[in-house]
Amino acid sequence: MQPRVIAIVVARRGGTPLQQTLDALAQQSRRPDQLVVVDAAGVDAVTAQLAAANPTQFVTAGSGLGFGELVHRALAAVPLPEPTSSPYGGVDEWLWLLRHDTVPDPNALQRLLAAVEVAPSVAVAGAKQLEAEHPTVIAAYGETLTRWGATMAIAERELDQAQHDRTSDVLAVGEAAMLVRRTVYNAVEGFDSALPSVDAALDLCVRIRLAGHRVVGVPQARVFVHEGTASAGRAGGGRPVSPRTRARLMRTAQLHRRLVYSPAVAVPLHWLSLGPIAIARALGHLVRKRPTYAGGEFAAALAVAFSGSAVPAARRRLARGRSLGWSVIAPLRMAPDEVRRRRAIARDAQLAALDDDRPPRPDFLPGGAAVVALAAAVGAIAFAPLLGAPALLGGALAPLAPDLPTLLASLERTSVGAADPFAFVLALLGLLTPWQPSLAIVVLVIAALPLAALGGWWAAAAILRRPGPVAVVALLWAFSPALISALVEGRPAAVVAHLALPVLVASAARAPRSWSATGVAGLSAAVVVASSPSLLPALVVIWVVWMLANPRRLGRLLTLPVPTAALLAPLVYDQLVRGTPFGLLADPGLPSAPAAVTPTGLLLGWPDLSLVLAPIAQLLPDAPTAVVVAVLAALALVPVVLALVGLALPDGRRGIVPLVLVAGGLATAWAVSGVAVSVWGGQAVSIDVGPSLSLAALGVALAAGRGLDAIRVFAPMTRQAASFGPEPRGAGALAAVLGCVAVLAAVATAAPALSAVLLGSSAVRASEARTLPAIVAAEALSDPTIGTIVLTPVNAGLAARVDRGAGLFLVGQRTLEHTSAAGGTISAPSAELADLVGNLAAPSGRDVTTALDELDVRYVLLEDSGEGVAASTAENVTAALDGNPVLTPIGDADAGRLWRVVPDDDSRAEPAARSVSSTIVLAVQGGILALTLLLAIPTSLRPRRRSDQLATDEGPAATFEVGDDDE
Amino acid sequence: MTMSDDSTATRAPRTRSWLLVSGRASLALVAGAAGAALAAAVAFVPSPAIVVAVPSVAVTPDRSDQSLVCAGGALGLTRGDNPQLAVVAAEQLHTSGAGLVTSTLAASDAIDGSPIVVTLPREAPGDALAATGIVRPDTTEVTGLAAAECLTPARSAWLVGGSTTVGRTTWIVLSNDDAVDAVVDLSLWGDTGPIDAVGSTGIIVAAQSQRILPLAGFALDEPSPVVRVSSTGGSVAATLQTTVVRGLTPSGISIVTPLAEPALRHVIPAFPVINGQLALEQSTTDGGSDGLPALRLLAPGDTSAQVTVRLIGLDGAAGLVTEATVEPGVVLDLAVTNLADGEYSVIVDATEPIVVSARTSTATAEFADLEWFSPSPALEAGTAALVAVAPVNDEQSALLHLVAPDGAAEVSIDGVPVTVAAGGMVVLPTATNAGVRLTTSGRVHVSVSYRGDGVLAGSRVLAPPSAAGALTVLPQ
Repeated sequence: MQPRVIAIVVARRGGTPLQQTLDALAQQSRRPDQLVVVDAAGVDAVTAQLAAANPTQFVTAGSGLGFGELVHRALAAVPLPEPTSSPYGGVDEWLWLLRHDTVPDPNALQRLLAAVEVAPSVAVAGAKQLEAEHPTVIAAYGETLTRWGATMAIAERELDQAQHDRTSDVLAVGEAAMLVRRTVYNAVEGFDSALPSVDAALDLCVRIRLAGHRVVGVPQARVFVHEGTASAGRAGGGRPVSPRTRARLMRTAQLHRRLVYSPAVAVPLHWLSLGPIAIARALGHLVRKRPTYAGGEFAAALAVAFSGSAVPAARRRLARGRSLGWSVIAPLRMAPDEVRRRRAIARDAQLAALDDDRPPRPDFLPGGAAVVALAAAVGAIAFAPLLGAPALLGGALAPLAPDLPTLLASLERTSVGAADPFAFVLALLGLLTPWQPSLAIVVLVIAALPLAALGGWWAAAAILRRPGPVAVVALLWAFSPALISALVEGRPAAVVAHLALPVLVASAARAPRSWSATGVAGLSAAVVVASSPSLLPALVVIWVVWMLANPRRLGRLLTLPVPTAALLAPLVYDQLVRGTPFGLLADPGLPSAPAAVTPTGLLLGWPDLSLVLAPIAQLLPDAPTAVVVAVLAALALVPVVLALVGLALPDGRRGIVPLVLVAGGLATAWAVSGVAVSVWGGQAVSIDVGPSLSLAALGVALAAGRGLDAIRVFAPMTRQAASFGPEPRGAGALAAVLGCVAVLAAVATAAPALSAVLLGSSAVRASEARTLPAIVAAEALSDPTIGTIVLTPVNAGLAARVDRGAGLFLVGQRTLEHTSAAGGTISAPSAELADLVGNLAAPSGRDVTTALDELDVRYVLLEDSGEGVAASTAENVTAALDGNPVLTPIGDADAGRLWRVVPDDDSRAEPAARSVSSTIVLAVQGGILALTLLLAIPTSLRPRRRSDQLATDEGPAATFEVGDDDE
Repeated sequence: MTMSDDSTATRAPRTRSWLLVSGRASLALVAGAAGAALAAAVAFVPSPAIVVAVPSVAVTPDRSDQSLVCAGGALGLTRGDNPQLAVVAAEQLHTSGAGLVTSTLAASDAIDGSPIVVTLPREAPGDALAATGIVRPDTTEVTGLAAAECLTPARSAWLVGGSTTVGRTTWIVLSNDDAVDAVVDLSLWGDTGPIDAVGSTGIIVAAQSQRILPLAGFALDEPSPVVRVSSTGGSVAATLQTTVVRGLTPSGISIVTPLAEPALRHVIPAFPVINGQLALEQSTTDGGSDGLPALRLLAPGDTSAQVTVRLIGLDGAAGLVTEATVEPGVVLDLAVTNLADGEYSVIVDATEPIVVSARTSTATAEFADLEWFSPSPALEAGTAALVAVAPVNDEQSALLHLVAPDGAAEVSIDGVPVTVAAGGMVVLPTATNAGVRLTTSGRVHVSVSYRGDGVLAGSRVLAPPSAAGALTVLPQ
């Protein structure tokens, strides 16, 4: 039989590749007999280019059609040859499929024909596709399926070393330069129109195989591919298809084929499994740090699930063309162990590439471990009186929660309103010690110093190169005034913010390079903002600047605030609806008025400078305060000078980023120092400047560490030009001395304040897990809703509140409640309480029994009045309470004077029903956090290179440059 | 182009490195300057102040029944082998106010002692009440005249007066009108310092009852006692009743009414000296010295007090000025000698909070009486006070004493205007067994004295108790 070759060129765009393709066709050693061009570009230049090739047929088609459809249009223009009865056989027509980007080798057609002429059973022959830009690299050669139906290239992106030249029988070949017998093509009814680009050829070859024909690859026939199947299938300018689009196309095609190839009974099951599998695979993408692929899974599942008649049509087409069972292609599928082997190789290659790209980090051992151990020892000594306590009181400290269910219930919306984001942080803390949640706060305070050192080390090690400066940063951070103040004054929120800040800064720095770091940054930002909402404006500014600095990773950086927003959203809604937007700035937890903030204190980094000045004044009564402040300023200046020196050394501009943190922190501290939005105990409570100063201190510490690092880097760089000797000792010694001076200055400043708990001058003290007297706590065990009116005489009058159960718990505090005064009105319950208290705390003719019963109040506690409050206030209140026959005095308790309500009241107010919306909101918040956590967990364990293999004169770490660590 | 390249080729690296170094240095300088500017801004620009207003509610408590507890009758012992404490002369009362209800306490330590409680019910039309009781015992043990305003029960009372030397009997009278029991602690001071007395603490005064305790049980033979009464639980009305028997002659009775708190200034509007010489002569018959007008002073704190005592006479002259040092915790009886007969008032200023009271005596040939005058609380400008003047005999009279220690005050007494000069005093006769309405335009201190032949008594005008205003509650 005489072979007749119809070359079909499908052109979606013109340019050099198309011209090369047309030229290569003209230069073939065996010229095709007919040339059909399909103009799917719709551009005049392309039309002219195609027309210049003198095609036999010229077909114009819409650019939106798939490859198979375009081929179909082309064939419609070429009539089938008349059936002949000639003894020499009729004309044997072959279709040679080319795209605008596939340039065949001059001998390609000849060699393909040679392969098919000797084997009549062969219906399809495919060429070896090489990359046009790298002609020695195989773009693709042969395709096959795994046992589960996923497409696998037999060879893909490998150097062509003739290693595949003995492969001939394959399951399928790509459509580029595919030679297919026209009769067979028609018999299986051509390409599936539901597969517009990827897998179209695979599907065709599978059906041809099932029709009883063979598919071979012809390694001697080569075709140079410019774009690849996925890109060439798309209209437009021919931009490369992004990996995630390619993955979506592949997944859509695979799901379509799954429904088409499966037995009829299994189709509904497969259809039902589309959704769950999409979800599972999307989670898998998250875990493998490819969150951008997750959307494609759902898009693919939806597209296939609702593809209309495409699947039934394809199933019928397959059934009509099929003459053999599926067992004929089983041997041609890729063996499972081969699939595993290939995936392992790919993973190893990726890890190797990552490791080459990763900046070297100083080893944690021994320096980091020593620093953390030192901080742990100091912490254990400084907080020795708190060891073994079940809970802490003083300042903003209170027992965390009475039990685990209460802890978890605190996340829900109550009648007051939404839970604070800090409740999530507290719940997480409490889960560490589920048998006694309050213990977690004790652990937090005692372990704060080593944890801060650890966090400081982790953050600095990502930016600096040598363990020495990293250790300096870790110690500066652990002994930073903001942390010491927060610990000594009992501010758990500020402690948490301090511990989370270095994690946030270090992971945000790496976020443009890593999805995992993005997840960590998102979570730590949520923790920081939850613990200190006043930092939010500064963090938003820094975030925007960071996005501007990394425009290529804009999309990824845009996801950073998602967990924070998820936690904040209900509270923001409630505050805005109530008309008290400033209330969002309120510190969470138990409000505790900080000492007056002085500008000197702010500049020295101390939220409350008297923490240092008071012990020093006790120790050195004769030293004038001005001199002490001057000495403190000199000590605080050491790291600042190091930071500025770092700027003047090579690559100094990288030290600007930490200094931006300093400016942001200091500006925030200044701005919020005069803002009071919460009310507690009859006093306006200012926002704590501690976390803002933490931010500033982190910047100073990192910049100082960078300065030390630069001193040691600088010296070898300047001298090695002359002599390639060992690193000069001088610079190293200088850096070591400066580092020691900075650390000693920080420790010397921190020591007086840190000793406060040990000396008993701190408000923080060990306590039982209750704030009310033991008799109330005992009764609360059986009756947790029992109420106690707590009265505190203050200068402005008599502060009153109702505590439930054993007293105040951190999880029960809501900023919505504390900031309700910002609205300027007094809520009805507050007014009722005031009325009751007014008639209770002063001689009155009213019978308060009913009002007490309605509030379920069984006790009245008169707290000791603070300093400067007239004693007569407390005496008058005592007299009125004593003289009230409804109350019986119990006596002086540790917290004040206690009365019990005499008449019994067994009725308790019904607890408010849980609202459905609250559960939904909580589920959405939990879902977002869980997804971020999945993204954040590092799943690729990488073996670390030993640091002694590092050259000492490597450039600085590329932390602030864009690349990708985990893709 | 090539020319210039060639010519600078050798110098280029050095120039470039110099440029780099200077660029970096200027970067550090710029950063340092920016940091200094930021620091200066933080130090000198005041930060924005947004402070939420603390919600507060001024709660005026519901009006309750206002009660005044009267001191009770004159106390004496029954005759016989087993003498019992008994009321030997019932008190006569004038109550003033609309809708008053008078009742008696259920129990008393004294036979026939049923102290009277005057109550203004919460539904009564008026809001002012006053009551003054007066007793005129005439037994072989107790004679004289004593008056006392009925008291609002309190948790703290300072009783300055009395004596427990030979012939002097002093009773501590504690009346509890509350619905709850009161636990009373007594603290005592004498002329040698604080007195530790067994049983002086934890005295239970049951609800609606009266306890009467002999002061001699705590401080025997004490010429100058001062008693502090502090109660927990219910409040008590506390008074001292002191009687004098010289030889076998009963020579006077007085009821000492309490001061609320030690203060830096005390004003005693009534300090009459009547037949002072005779009283002094009579009082020396048994060697006692309590016929002499005197002030009793105590600084209960830890520091000694410098005391300035001014006696103001009717002519408005500053009169006698005495200065003394009161040692802490030691009661000082400051005798006022050579004082001509006449009406005086006493202003005591101290550098530390003190308590004070004044004693004068009167006598005729047959009778003698003494009286402790406690300082009167200030009636502030604009106050409308109700004065109950106790009933007296036909031969006895009552006088109203007004002192304005600070500035002149225009006082309207039942509509009749009276001007009290700054630092001066006014003494007016007043109707007895009557209520007098008194409004003032300035701060005045007011007392009432009752006198007859050889008898002397006094009561004070108290600020209206409703002056206690609304309570400011700061609800969470």
